[in-house]
Formats: sequence, structure tokens, C-alpha cells
Amino acid sequence: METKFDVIVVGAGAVGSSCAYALSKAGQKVLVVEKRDSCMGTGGATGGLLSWFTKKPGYHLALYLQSQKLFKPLEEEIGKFGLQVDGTVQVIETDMEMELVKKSMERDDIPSGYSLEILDGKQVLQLEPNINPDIPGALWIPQSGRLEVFDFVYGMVRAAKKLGCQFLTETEVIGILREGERVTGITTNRGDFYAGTVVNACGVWGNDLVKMLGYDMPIRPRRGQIVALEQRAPYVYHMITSSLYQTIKFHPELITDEAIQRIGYSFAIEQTESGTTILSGTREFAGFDRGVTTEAIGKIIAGAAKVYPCVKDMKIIRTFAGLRPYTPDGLPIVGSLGQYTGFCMACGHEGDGIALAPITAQLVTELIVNGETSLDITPLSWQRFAVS
Amino acid sequence: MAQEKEDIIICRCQEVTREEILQAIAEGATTVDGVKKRTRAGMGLCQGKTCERLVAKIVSEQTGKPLAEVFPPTFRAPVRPVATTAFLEEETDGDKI
Repeated sequence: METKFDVIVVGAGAVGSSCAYALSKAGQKVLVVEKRDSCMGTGGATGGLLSWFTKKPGYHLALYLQSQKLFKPLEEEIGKFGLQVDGTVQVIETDMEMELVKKSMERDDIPSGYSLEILDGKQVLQLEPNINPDIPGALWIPQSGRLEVFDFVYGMVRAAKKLGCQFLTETEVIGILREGERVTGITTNRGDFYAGTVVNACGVWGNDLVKMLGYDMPIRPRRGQIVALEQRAPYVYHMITSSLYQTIKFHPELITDEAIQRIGYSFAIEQTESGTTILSGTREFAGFDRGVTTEAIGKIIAGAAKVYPCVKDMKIIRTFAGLRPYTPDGLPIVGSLGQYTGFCMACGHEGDGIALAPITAQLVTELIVNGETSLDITPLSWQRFAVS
Repeated sequence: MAQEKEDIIICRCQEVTREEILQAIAEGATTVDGVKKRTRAGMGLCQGKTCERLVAKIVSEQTGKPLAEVFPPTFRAPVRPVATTAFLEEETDGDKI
């Protein structure tokens, strides 16, 4: 096969596939190199929530809003991936949660066209007739969305291939080729490949490539445990999340349950198009261990059963865990690395890999094709984590 | 061996045909897991207990990979569907399943 390309993207997950598509669309000759197969890592074990509300006010939110705008046109270009902007119900279970939610609504940066509303128990039941009628209320986030992750990622792969992008799966990068401070290609178990730019879209494994260039970035695997319940006729109509997530994120001192703190437990309930219910999850540091624990699975099921009593009559068909590429400030690393030219970072998105994939692909493409970006990417620079 | 019909259903839970599985392999799937994520074969109630071997055989035939290399490297609990209440009544102790 050919060995010379304009761009080599390493990693065929949500971010890598999106970059491959955007670069191919911009006329670049692209090779994607993937250690296993697309959608086998982080994107293969996650839900598809697209929520502006969980983004940190400021840059993170602005970046996300740019990204969210790109999903609809992308779906028109590459075909359906189950994009729905049909709102999230963030369940409020206690008075303390109600107070925190009310406080969090007193912000002046709610973007125009986006809204938040507190619902009482009756209103919640109108949206979700099968929810526990004792739920005191919820925060309604109407402009929050979701998508089908596999359809999104494989749709990107297909669309990129149609534009001439080549994919090499089960191909591992074992070295980075350099001429002085210029990256010129990669060495793999299938031989050497050359390109003007190598993109690091390895997500949670992103630091492997970084280390090959003599650097160390604080990208750490953060595990999220998930439970899949048997398929049922529709009974959950929106994405359901917990206010506990907000409490843990912004007021961890108010959590008295030690286990909740330790495993970063909070729940999200989503019934996918297939009828399967996906219950998540946790945010915990356990190295690269993708195993599950009875403690977390028990907490996830108990949380879900409290909100949807019918969960007690259902069967678990699978438990699994995904690894999210955590960074200390919750933002990905995008752009150059160290003194090198011809190398572009696009990893470290933690739970935002899907949500930020379109904007990441756009920024990477702009950088490679135009040499500059339409959006300031200083907050995404490797330098914020540079150790002197 | 008789020619296998392409519209035969391989994964009964998700009603995935042999043709869809061949299509997934043509698109790049080289493992049972790769077929599963592209077609949903094996994602239903039985979690591939019925179709996994059939899918593996097709993948192996089409890709030339030995059977042993196309099976998933990891195993995920539970072995068969289990009632959620099994977790609700039990004291949890942080042990692995």
C-alpha cells in the first residue's frame, strides 16, 4: 500500500474518525492508523449525552456550544446517527439538591436560545409517566441532546472512506519518525508511513505517543461503570440524570456517603433506540482496569430503581466499564506538542469525546490546512501541563 | 457445503442477517466485537450466547483469521440475564463480579 500521506491520524475513535472525515473533506490525503478497530475504546462503552449544562461556564461551555452547532449539518452530510435534541430531566431528590440547583440557575451566562426550568413532581410525571411519583422535582434542560454513539463513529468512518481516506486497523504505532524537530511519520507493526502531520487522537492512550516524543501529559484513565438492562418497549422518554452529579462536581463537601465520593457515583438513565436501558455510572481512577465492581453496579441499580420502580422487574444483560481520558482541568489537549512541528494533539476529552468531536475535528483541520484556528485554542495548549 | 443463504438470520435477538454481517466485515470488522458494534449482533437478551460462534465462524472464513483470534478478549458479567433485584437485596462489598 501507499506510504505517503498528507496527514496520519492515530486512533479511530469518535475524535480520530471525526478528524479523518473533516481533513478528507478539506482535500487532505489521510491515513488512519488504529491499534484495534474503530469504536473499541472509550466510545465503545459510553452513553450519548450532549449536554451544555454540565460544561464549566466560560471557555469549556463556549467550545461545546460551537461543537453542538456542528452536529446537525454533520448528520445531513454523513447520514443519520440518531441525533435528538429532546431535553434532559435532571432529577432532584432532596431539599439540599433543590437548593443547589436553584443556586446554579442564578448565572448570567446561560446562552441565548438555551433555557432551564424547575419542574414540580406533577410536571415531571407529565414528561416521564413511568417515573417514581414521589420524586419531588427536576431540572428540565430542554436544549440538551443525545445521539447513538456507534452510528456516529462508524458513520464518520464510512464518510471519510468515501472521500478516499484509508484506514489501517489492528495496526500499532511503535515509533514516531523525526527529522530534527519535525515529525515526518510513524513506525508501525505494518511498516513505516510518512505524512506532513501526525495527529494524536489516541484518547485515554494519548500519552503513549506523547512519551515517544519525550514529553509526559497528565491524561489519566477515569473509569465509568455501566449496566445494560434488557430491551423493553419505550418507558423512558428523555435522558434522565441526577442532581447528585452537580453536587459532586461543584460541592463535593456536601456528600456524606463515603462510597459515592470515592467512586464518583451519580446516575444517568437512557433508553436507546433499540429499547435497551443504559444505566451509568461512576467516575473513578482505577488505572486501565476495565472491570466492574459489585459496589458500583449495586449503587447504579439502586439509584435507577429508586427513580424508575419498574427497573426492579427488569433483567441485567450486561455490565461493563469504559475509560475516559481525564485531564486536570477537564479540557482536552489540542494543537502542537513541545518544539515539534508536524505533530498535532487531539486527545484528553474525558467524557466529552463525542460532544467535542466535531469542534476538535474542525480545529485540527484548520490548524493543518490554514496554520491557524478560527477559535482561540490557547486554553487547550499542551503548555498548561508542561513541567519545567 | 451448501451455499448459505445471505438473508438467513444469525442473531435472533436483534434479527441480524448473514448479509448484514458480511457487510460489516466488508466495512472493516475483523472480530466478533467489531461485527457486534456495527450490526448489534450479540447485543440482545442472550448477549451472543446463540450467535457468537456463528458470527465468529463467518468472520474467520471471511478474514482468514483463526477462530481463536476473532472472539472477544474480555468476558462481561452476567453469564445469563439476572434480575436487578439480585443487586438490591445483597450487601455490596466492593468485590469484583
